[in-house]
Amino acid sequence: MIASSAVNDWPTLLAAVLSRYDEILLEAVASAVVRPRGAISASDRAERIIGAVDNPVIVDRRLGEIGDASPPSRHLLAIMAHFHAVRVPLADAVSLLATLGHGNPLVAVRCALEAGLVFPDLRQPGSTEVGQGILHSFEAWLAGTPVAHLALLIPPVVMSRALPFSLGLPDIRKGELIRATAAQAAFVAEQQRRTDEGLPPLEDTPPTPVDSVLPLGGAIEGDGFDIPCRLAVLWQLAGEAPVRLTQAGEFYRRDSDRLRQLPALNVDDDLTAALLPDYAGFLVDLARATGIFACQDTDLVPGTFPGEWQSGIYGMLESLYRSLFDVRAWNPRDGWKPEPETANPFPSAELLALLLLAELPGAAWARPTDIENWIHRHHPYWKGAQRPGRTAPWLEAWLAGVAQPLRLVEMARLGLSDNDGRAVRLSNIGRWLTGQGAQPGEPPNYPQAMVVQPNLEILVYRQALTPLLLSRLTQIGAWKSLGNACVLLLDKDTVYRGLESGESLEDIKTLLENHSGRQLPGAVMDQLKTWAGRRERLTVFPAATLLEFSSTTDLDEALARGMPIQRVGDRFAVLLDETLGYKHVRIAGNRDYGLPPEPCLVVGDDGVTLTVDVGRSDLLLEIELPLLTDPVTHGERGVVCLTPASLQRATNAGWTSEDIARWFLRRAGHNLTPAGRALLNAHTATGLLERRLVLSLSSDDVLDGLMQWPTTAACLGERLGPCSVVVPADKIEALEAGLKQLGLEIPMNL
Amino acid sequence: MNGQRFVVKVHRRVPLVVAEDPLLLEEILARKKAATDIAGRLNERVLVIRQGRAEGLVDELRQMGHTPRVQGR
Repeated sequence: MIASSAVNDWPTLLAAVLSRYDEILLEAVASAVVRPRGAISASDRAERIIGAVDNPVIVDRRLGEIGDASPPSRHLLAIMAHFHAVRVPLADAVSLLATLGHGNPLVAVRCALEAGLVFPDLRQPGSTEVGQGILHSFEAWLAGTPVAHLALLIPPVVMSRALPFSLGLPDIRKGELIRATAAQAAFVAEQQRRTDEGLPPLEDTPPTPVDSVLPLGGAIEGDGFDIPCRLAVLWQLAGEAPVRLTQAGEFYRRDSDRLRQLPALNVDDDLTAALLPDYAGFLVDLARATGIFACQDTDLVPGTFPGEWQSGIYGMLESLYRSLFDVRAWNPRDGWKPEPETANPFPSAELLALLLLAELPGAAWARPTDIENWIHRHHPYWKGAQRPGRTAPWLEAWLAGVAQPLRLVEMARLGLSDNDGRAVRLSNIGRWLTGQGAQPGEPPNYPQAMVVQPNLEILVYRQALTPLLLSRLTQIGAWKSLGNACVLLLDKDTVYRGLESGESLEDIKTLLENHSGRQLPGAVMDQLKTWAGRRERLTVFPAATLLEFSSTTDLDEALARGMPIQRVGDRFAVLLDETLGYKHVRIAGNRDYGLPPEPCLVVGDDGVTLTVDVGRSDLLLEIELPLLTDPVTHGERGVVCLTPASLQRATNAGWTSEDIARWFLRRAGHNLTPAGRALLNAHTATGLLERRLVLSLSSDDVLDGLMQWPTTAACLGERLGPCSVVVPADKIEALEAGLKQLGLEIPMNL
Repeated sequence: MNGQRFVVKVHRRVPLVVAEDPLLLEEILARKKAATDIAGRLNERVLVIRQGRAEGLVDELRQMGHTPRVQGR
């Protein structure tokens, strides 16, 4: 999956990109965009570039200059601005420049890069991190492969100032010009010059107009909620189980069936359904592009609804318009077709179709086929294509199935049924989004949007729906059907999901009551209370900050002072607010459980007495010690002892000798002491307690000799130590005789 | 203690389960799959979860029919 076109922190991203510029390249770009009077120090260059492209005055000056010096580059900036996205694939920008008739689009891109008005996206594919390595020249970057991974970044201020700007696209109703768009602009300028100078005009071949378009009946415009509602259903579907993709980007069979069998994810209109392949695939890729789906490796899981949805329907439609051109794994001709190494030409062609419609006067209609023919004749992907499959029609289905539901276009029938053909024109919202008009006025607000029924079903009226209401209802209920009146069902799991998303019981109650205009039915309220109450019974803290107080009294006092803590034991409390929580405390120890445990037991000389190093100990030790050790009688706090009984207790609880030895190593930092091993393993040894005669000498050297000299060696048994040896009872006399020979007389103590 | 600061030891990033009722923890510990995610019991109402196993435990609790509140995710 490619990186999303949305960029949350533009200055940070640009700083990261500029950090990879070679010093000479950075100096050149800084000079071009900042135009300093003196030299800029090396350390300030990136900061000055970021400041310059964020300054509308400087940006306006540079746009004027590049318009004069390199008109194709100015076209590039306008094209990129039409995408409404900070990140635009290079292939799209180049394709559209070529469509406009510019002979060498890459030169235009390089000029814009050198002018510092666009930047190369140096992030790794599918990552938010900028890669390693230094960028020495833009030519080298532009020659990189695969092309599908190359993208340009346009600063938000440049994007906002680059429009309005005429790209010189034709009014397709007037027929095909003999020249490409850019050449036509040059021709018009030359004609004007000749007229001004009184020279005879150049010969021109007028275009042949296409047949006039007269639709029957009125314009059909969507309400803008058709696709968002389907995205909401998709979000819930992924919540039940992630939508899984293979390494090749295809759906697993199970997920493919799930998606394609759900009525809410398929087109209602028969004609469009027949023409637009794999609508569910489109919705999946749009959900990914908007962030409604988040990517976890190859799994698509529920993400978050875009923040723009909170600002109303126009914010929602603008965010969907931007995301529309980021749909890369699906296209309206072939359906779901993930080819991450290949540039997808359809998003640029879709934008081109809207821009061509924007060239028509307000109320004028066009045939989708006329627009499509123009695209096929000029867009480099279709221009001169030989294979019939490549030129298969797709635009009408895309307009009817995607652009119309998003309120970008209005459509009308050319006959009594859809089979007679359809006409299309931009809607007011389409004109606003293509920079041809102002934002339409706010839509009417209907306070009563729903009816909450005692059987936990909610009837939601589409005309009263708002993006914010849609996203909140999606969190707390399950969509059962979509239509003019949609049905949502509340159940245990969906209410729990809503509570987990940050809604409280009171929030849910207020939402439902405010939008239904009446109090919730008693049965619904009781059920909501029950479900919310069940959630209060168990709380999981995946990474809590736990405060361990010295005594229960201290914790009581802290609670009385209003510290933001939740008591979870006699001396323990979970800190609920990191910013306010440390005001009343002095930290005596700090333990991070994300780090490996440290040895925190000091072992006494006896090998069994353990002293806790309070500064390094952790909670788990608090749990382990009562099981593995016994407190030392009359000992100070934090001193414990390994005893046979304590180790037996641990064994009974399922700890093996190896577990205990590993625990000791982890906690004390060295192997279990011999005393500890004896406590643990003594029962496995065998032995015999007996009386023995022992010869003890003052010299180990003499004993070595006795052990070696055959006369005495035959009378000696097992050697017990350097100076001691066992003497068998029946050898005493022989030994005595032998010792006498050596002149050694030893008193006997038998 | 008035006005004085409390001396505390801070345990950071500790994965915990806190229950209203100790019986709920008994139920969790009795479930073999959930019990493997537990490092130990701090007191009758608190379990310490093994590092990196909190998400798995939440899923398992949901399988058991509980609807745990996940706080500070």
